[in-house]
Amino acid sequence: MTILDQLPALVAAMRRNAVRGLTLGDAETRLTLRLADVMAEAPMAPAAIVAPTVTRALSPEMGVFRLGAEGAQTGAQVACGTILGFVEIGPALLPIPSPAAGTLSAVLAEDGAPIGFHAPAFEITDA
Amino acid sequence: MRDIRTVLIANRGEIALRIARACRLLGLRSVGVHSEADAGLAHLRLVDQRICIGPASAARSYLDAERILRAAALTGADAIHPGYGFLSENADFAEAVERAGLVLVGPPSSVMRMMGDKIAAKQQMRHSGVPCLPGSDDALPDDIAEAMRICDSVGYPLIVKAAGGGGGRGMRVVRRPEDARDAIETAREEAGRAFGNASVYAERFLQHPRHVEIQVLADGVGQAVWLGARDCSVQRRHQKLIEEAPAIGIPPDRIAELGERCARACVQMGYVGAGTFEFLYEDGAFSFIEMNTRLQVEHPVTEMTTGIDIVREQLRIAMGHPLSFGQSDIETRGHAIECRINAEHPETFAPCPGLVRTWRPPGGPGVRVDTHLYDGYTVPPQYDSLVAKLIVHGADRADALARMRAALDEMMVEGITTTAPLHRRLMDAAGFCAGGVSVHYLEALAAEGATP
Repeated sequence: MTILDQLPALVAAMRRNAVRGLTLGDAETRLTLRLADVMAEAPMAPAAIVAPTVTRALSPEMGVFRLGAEGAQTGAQVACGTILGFVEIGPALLPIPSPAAGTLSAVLAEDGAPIGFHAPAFEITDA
Repeated sequence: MRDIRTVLIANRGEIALRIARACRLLGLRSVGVHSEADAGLAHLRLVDQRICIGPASAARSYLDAERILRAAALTGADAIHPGYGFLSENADFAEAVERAGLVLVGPPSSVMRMMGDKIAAKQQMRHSGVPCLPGSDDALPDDIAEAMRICDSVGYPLIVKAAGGGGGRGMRVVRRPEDARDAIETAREEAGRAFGNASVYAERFLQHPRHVEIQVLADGVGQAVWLGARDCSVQRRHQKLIEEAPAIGIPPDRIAELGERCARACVQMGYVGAGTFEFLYEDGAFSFIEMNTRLQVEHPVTEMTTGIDIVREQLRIAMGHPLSFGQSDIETRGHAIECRINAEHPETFAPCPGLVRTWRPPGGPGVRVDTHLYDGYTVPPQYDSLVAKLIVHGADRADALARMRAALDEMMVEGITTTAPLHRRLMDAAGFCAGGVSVHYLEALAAEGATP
């Protein structure tokens, strides 16, 4: 199953949770979804509320997940490219950079636990 | 006893599900590994832990020994079950598993390596009294005149084969002495390119053989048994389509004599686990082709006729248990047939991956379906097209054929094209119904324009 097969469910979940933008990917590839307004179901949304865009930072490899020393606390402001954590493969540490600037809204993996190839490791919210 | 608690299943599809079920049966913790394209595989719901090991490419996931071993280390697996295909007969992988201090559910790497070298395997078989085709006892020498003299002594037609090969590559049929030189040189070149080993050997070429094989199980304390014979003659380009047990029309005492020799060979070479000795059968004589040092796709027909759970036994043997039964406890009852249902066009055999909208497996007495299909599953294009094995067991062959016809009629799969219609037509084809067809049966039917 590819991400495209999951689009309908993903869009439905975004609508349910009022998420209008979502970026998935890593440093090399990225897919950004921005939902159009659903006119029939959006009678008079307050103009001041802008739904945040959530971006996930994926593990570049299978290995042991390690939280970054700094800036990897939930709620921290991060820049695009900030190293949030690492994947440990034997003696090697592969960095997990933030794919976007924003607030680190969730750490999705446990420090010291196995993490799979391209598994989500962090969530960054842009607003 | 070896303390095995966690088994990593280094495979995908129906066989990964089959192994996950056997692990649960034995109370073993299981780990499912998958590629990025395979996150929806059915067995991943059943395992205790799952991990994505790499991208869709098999070379960077299921065929990548380093990734499999890394996944085993990360998940605390003690043992690795390789299933069939992928790394299951890779002696370098087996050795790496041993070096990592893990248990491979299979034979020792040294035995796997010996059986992977066709010349060494044949020498071992001759040593154990397993019948082989007349042929060169060793690799053909570099001196082409001497190689041709050996070919003349083998007799024509003969086949030149790659020592490290398989799958039809590095093979040449020679019908006349004057064609031997070209065949040897071409086969050597192809073998060197394909397998990194240019050694070739020659053996007699049979014209209309059947493919008959013996299933064995051997434990680590010097006991081995044979579980009967299978006939896998309905093939297309060396790929089996239908398998059955027992092999009809061959006297049971001949099968028993062959089975005893195979079991004895296992003990002599130190074989451990499940394995299959493959033979060609023509004019009443068996000739060894090769040994598969792993579980076979077609193992269920043997399970149905003997009542023995081969995967469970494999795991028990890997845990260090002796065989829980002896040769005298094994009995072949009734007849079993397996149809391999592939996601392919039933006439052109072009792959037909895609979304399975509806899957309704058949059922009823004597019907077994080994599959990873479910409604909404997408068959990815990157891997083997086998999506289901439909297995039936009847009181005799006629009963099994009737059950298979009914099961194929009942089975429904929508969204992808499969080979099921071909199987249904074959179940009514005169030659197949009569039984005992040769390995050329299906291709001869197609060549005659009488596609079943």
